[in-house]
Amino acid sequence: MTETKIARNWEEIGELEEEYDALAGATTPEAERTLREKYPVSWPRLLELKMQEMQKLLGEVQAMSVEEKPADMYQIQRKINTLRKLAVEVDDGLLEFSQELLTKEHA
Amino acid sequence: MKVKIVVAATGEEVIAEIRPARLDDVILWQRWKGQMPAAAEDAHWRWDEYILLAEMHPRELACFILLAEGEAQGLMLLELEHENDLGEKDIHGLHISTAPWNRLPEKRFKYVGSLLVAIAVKLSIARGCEGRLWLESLPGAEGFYRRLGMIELGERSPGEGLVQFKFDADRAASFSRKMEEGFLE
Repeated sequence: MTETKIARNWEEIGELEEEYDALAGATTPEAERTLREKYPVSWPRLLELKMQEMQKLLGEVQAMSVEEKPADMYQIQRKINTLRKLAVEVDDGLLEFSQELLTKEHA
Repeated sequence: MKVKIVVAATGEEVIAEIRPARLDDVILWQRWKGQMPAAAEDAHWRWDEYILLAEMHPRELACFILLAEGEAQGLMLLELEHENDLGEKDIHGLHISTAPWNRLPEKRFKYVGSLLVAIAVKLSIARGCEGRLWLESLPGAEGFYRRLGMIELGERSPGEGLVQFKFDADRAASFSRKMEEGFLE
């Protein structure tokens, strides 16, 4: 069995960071489900958050579009792609919210 | 809280900030998503929802963000009401993640992961848990947590079988002393 060499100071911790990633936490769908069952999310609040994100992004895109700098085109396209993803997520969220309401109604 | 991180390629120190994540930080996480390799083990983690969960359950959850150069360099979700294998109250690192550009082989900044862990230890001390911390490491990070001085549990996490690590009070104190240099206030 190899001996574990514990970093002795700030510099050696920095060396560790160059050698390893620091990811931690369960990654299974079951773990995500357990987290949400333990700490339920409010769909209206989640959707509100996503709408806020969309408004903010849209504002940024509009501001950048007015100036029409060619150098901004890539960033504008990235933001628009993010907006499209968010629109899909909002649609998915609304569907899930609606199904949750229907389930409650029939319970 | 002001901290310092280091550019891996040059050794240049950069001032960063760690604070509780806010809803408007979600936009910063959105910038990760485009760069996250699809095969990343945490690619499906929803930090927008974790930030919201922490906002909705402030007594049980806390979410922290490490910011530098206008970008989120790391994120961490903590469960505040948890017990370790000895039945002692501790803090559970539910999710710890770094920006895609702070991962191997690229690694723009050093100390993002260790500073997040150090903040979790500080919070544990502030909550009377003496620095005790619990987490499940993803396979590529086991050496990191082992060599930070965390204690490896014999038993793996249920279901996924991840290696579990903990800081007891003594190990947490030792780690905190080594990390003092990173805190600027």
